[in-house]
Amino acid sequence: MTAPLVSARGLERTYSTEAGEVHALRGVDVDIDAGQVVAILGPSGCGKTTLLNCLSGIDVPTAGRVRFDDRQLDELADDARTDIRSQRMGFVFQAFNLVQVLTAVENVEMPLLLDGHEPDPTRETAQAALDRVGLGDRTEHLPNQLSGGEQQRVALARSLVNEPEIVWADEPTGDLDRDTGLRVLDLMAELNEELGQTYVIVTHDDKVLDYADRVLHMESGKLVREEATPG
Amino acid sequence: MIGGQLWRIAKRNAKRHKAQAIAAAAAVAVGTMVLSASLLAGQAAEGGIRQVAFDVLGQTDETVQSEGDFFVPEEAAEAFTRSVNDRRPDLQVSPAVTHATVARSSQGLTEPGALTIGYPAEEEGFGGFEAVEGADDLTEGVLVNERLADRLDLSAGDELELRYAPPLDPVVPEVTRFEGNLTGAGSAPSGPLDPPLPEESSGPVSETFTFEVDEADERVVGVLGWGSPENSTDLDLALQAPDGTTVENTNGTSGSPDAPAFVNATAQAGNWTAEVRAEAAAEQPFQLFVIVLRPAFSLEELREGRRALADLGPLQERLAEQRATERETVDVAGVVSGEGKGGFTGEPAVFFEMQRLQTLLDREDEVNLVRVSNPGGVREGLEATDDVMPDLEAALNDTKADVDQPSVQALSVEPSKQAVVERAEEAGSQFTRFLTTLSSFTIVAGVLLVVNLFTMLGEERRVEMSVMRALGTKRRQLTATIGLEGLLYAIPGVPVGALAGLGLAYVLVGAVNDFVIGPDSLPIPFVVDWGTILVAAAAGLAITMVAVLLTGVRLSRVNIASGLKDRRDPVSRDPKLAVRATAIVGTLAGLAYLPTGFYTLLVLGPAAVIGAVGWGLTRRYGKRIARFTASAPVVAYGLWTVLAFQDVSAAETSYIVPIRGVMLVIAAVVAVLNAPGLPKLFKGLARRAGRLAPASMVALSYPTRKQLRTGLTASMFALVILVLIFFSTFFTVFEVEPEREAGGYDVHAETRLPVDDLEAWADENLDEQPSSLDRVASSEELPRARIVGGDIVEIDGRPPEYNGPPIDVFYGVTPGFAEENGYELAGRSGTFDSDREAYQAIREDRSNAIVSRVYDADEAGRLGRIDGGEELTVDLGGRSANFTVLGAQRQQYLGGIFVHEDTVRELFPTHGTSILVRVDEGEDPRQVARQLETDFQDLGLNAEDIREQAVQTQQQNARFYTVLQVFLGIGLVIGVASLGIVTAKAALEREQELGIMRAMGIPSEHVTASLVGEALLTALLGIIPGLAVGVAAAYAAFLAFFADAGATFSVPWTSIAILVSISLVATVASTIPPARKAAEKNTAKAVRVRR
Ligand SMILES: Nc1ncnc2c1ncn2[C@@H]1O[C@H](COP(=O)(O)OP(=O)(O)OP(=O)(O)O)[C@@H](O)[C@H]1O
Ligand SMILES: [Mg+2]
Repeated sequence: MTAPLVSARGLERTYSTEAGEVHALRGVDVDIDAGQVVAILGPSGCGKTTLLNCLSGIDVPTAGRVRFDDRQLDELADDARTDIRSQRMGFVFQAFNLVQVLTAVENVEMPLLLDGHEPDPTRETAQAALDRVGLGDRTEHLPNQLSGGEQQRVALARSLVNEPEIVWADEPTGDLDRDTGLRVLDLMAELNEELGQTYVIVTHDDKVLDYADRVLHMESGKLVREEATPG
Repeated sequence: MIGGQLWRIAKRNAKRHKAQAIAAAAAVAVGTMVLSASLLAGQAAEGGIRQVAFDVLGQTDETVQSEGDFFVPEEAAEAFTRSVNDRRPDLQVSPAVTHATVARSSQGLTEPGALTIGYPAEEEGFGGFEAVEGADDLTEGVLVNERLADRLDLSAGDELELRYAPPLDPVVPEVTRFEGNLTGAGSAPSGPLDPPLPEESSGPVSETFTFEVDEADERVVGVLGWGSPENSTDLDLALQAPDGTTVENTNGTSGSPDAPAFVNATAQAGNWTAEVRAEAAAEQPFQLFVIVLRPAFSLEELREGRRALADLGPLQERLAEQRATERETVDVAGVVSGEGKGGFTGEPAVFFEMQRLQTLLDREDEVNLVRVSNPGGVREGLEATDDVMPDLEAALNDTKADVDQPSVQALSVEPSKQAVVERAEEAGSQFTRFLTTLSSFTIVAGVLLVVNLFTMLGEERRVEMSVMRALGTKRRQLTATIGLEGLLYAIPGVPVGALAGLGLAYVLVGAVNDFVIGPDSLPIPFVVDWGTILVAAAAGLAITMVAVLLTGVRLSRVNIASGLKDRRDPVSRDPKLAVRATAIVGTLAGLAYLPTGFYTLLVLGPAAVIGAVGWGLTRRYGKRIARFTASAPVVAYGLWTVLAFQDVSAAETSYIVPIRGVMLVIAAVVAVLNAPGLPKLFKGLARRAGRLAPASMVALSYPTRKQLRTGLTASMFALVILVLIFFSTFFTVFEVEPEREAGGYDVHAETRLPVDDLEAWADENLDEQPSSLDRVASSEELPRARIVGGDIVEIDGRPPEYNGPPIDVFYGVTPGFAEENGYELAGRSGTFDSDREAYQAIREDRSNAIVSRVYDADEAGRLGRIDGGEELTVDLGGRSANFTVLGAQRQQYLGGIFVHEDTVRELFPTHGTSILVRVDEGEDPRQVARQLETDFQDLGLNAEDIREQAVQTQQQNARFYTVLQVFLGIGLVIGVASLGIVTAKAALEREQELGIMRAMGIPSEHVTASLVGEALLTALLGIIPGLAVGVAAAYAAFLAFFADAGATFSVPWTSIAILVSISLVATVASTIPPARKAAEKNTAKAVRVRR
């Protein structure tokens, strides 16, 4: 058995506020294998985003351990975690994923440029990624000239352009209507098939069940249940 | 209450954005500050000069005197007083005597420009003296004012030596020429005559001529001349007065025309006879000139008389009365303050009891000034002047009828205080206009910042405002909320700014006193005028509120539907209608120039049409191209108008300059932002920045995408840079070149006394030859007269535009000066091949004149007005002298009008001398100047190294420019601070975007760099157009104003580089903190933010 790509043990995350402490994560253990599509489900405020942030190295847990591949994320400095994110991870958020003043293709090529790729082949790669998500003819459009679903597809193109091992998606369909949301999820599933990328998708939309290899249910900061789906 | 509700919202909003609230308040404060400072400084200048008028004139509101301050019998003054009292018993009238003197303290300190003033011991209505030290009453002795005391280090009890030339009555000669031929009788005298006189003769031995002399005449002079030099003569001349007394000259034997027989007698009214007798027997043709010297108090008569005299050639010297310098030592009884009676005319003065001064000047029972005091105090008196003048004029006419003497006929009434106060107002309003023109740029920059902040606020609150609108809030209520918020910023900003303006004005006035007025003149006192501060505050408030409300109106037009979704309005409105409206309004405005003559309309109108045409291309070519084609030609047109519209009046200049400046800047910024290929170029560069590429792309994209915000910020920067660059470039034109000012001479020395030749004067008046003369290679003595007037000189019918107090100086061109001076001409009449020829033409024709650069400017300040051939008129009170201007000099050190030396002597009987000295090789001009001053103390000589003086003037100018630049640079603070705020604001707005960038793995330093880079780019987008337009406008203005005068144009690259560096460094410094704060924000938190 190969080691899981991401592995967390005893994750706790406590926010201190003026109104007192909020325990967003209360001891989460989770392993994510490479190539899986993992969905995290749960009611609003149960700690899904917090978990995703801690797993991806955007945030650090108050207690517990997170390992990504061979790196212990909770022990790394911000710079090191930043490098890992840029080189090995992709992100799709609920909305406003894109830099508003850059065109679709420019947004997509950002990860490549960030990795120090030459600018000219970069443009072609980004173009290809946009073609892949079906927006090959919208490359020069600005985000606000695209619909919400199109914007999410651009974000997806961005998350695959430098072929990261894992893509973190926090409610990628949250702002979309049902049909558009489904199309985005379809696309993610396809990409998972084709490129073998790992997808961790946070949602409270149960249609994700149709796409996920695993579904993790959260409640009040804990994983309460897991179900494997036929997928 | 809806009002209370709106107020609460406004207050909460302000609280929510502290930094922004502070920035807005600061912008309001800075704008108000410069405005208040400009108004206050102008007011201080006006008030200061006016105060000087009050100090100097005290209770005196009007004066009666003649040009040249000639003396009149005291009975005339008494008659005038009676006549005034009959008409206006409420007026006080009192005579006085004034006369120039050189004052010297026992320690050897000398004041060449002192004045002796005699007042009646007792007089009503003119106030008294205010003692600073010792006595305060003329009955106790001689008083001096503080000004003189300071210069000579005098205190009560000190001795003071006065040296003065006694006042002479001006006289003109009336010349009658007789001819005769005597053959004589008797024996020829032995002598070196060749051929010797014949022994015998049969012709007449004497001839008599008769002539008449008037009562007023002063002297009768007979001069006997020869028919021809070959004819040797021995003729005697006798003048017989009506009473039978005779004066004779019996040794007219010298036989040379240079030494004629000469007879001088005091005049008596009646018939005179002149008898010419031949002593030797020989044919002796002769000419007899009978010259009757008659007093003349009209300058025109004096001038004609001097001409008649000049025709007599060398004879005239025999007629000139020597003005021996008198000396008198007095004890100083007290030092009095320089106000009112103690400050009369503002000069350093010595006050006598009038009779004592009359005796001293040998002018018993004569005065040369009558003062009139209106009812009321020093200030209120002024108001009555218009009312009083006709009565005074009538009274003077009575007096003239009463006392029928030429000197009395020459008197006139002057509204003296009113004249000075009017001049003060003119000077003050000029200064105010200048400063407000400058500060309007800073004010516009402040307004742009306020508009920018509110626009950003609006964007931020789009959703919130849409919700309020959806819930039924009216547009005007939204506008009101925004207005209230603006008011909230104005409430601290306006008063703080208005008060800070007080401090700034104080600094400005101090600078003007230090650098412009100099230590020798009365400084402008700083006056705090709360009314003005209030006006500035009200204007600051009004400008702020108008800007805020206009922004508010625009913001309240939020589209509810798209606002709720927080999306931009999908389709931009079709600009067709607006384009057409702009074109029509522009055309109408341009046409409105024709009836009104306002150049501003001719600048804005066509610019609007040009802009509209370009803008109309939106449909076909897209926004960017349309914006570019709308703006770039406007820049070109605007610059062209600087060059083309040169006849703009001074009043219009004060607003056309800022209006055109703002237009040019905004158009230039829009043009640069939309320059074709610019985004591509930027992105191309950014993509090549290696790992920094994503951050660079973001930094370079924001400014060209967010045009409104960038444009406002950049324009603000551009405006400030524009004025700074414009002025520093423009100022290079005024650079003073020492060699040009020196004209080949090294030292310039001045005295108030007439000196024809320094060396000869020394021989005559000093015990030993002064050592300074050993170090002098040559000296050129130009008679020099200085008149304070303002409307005395006109060139082609227009008075010159003085760059300072209206003082006209006349310099007399001597043969040596014409031959040797190196003062280059800028404009020269085409009839001369060289400058030298033009100078020599002044010697040849007395109606010719050359003017210095001071007279070369027109009312718009443009140099090169003089081309040669202009008509120059000198108005000396109803009489005038005309000259043809041959050219204008480039030098401004001897600021004045150069005419034939004799003309100066004629026009200004009491003239002084300007001495231009070349020092011996190897001598230090400065030391020579100092020694000349010491050696010629008796002349009250004031000498200086010309080149050193030029360098000092240059430094003084530079310092003043620096003060102005600092004043203008205050605007830069707004620009830089606003970039900091805009960055902070942008960071906040884009928090989520930045968070996502960070989540994607962009390091925080890159994010910081991106934000700072964006601000730098915004600054550069302002600096570059500002710089380009500033230099171009300065060049256009140079071409329009100074190129004709042979001035040179140079761009001060060093100061520009310093300025740009300061701006950029300040930008980085002000944006790094907010940028870093945003970049280092917890990523997990940032990505969560939902806008
Ligand atoms: N910065 C913070 N400070 C304080 N409390 C926080 C903070 N961020 C999150 N929380 C709290 O932590 C808990 C978990 O939040 P989290 O955003 O992870 O939930 P979620 O499951 O993603 O909810 P949703 O489905 O609404 O996105 C919530 O109760 C939330 O209020
Ligand atoms: Mg009075």
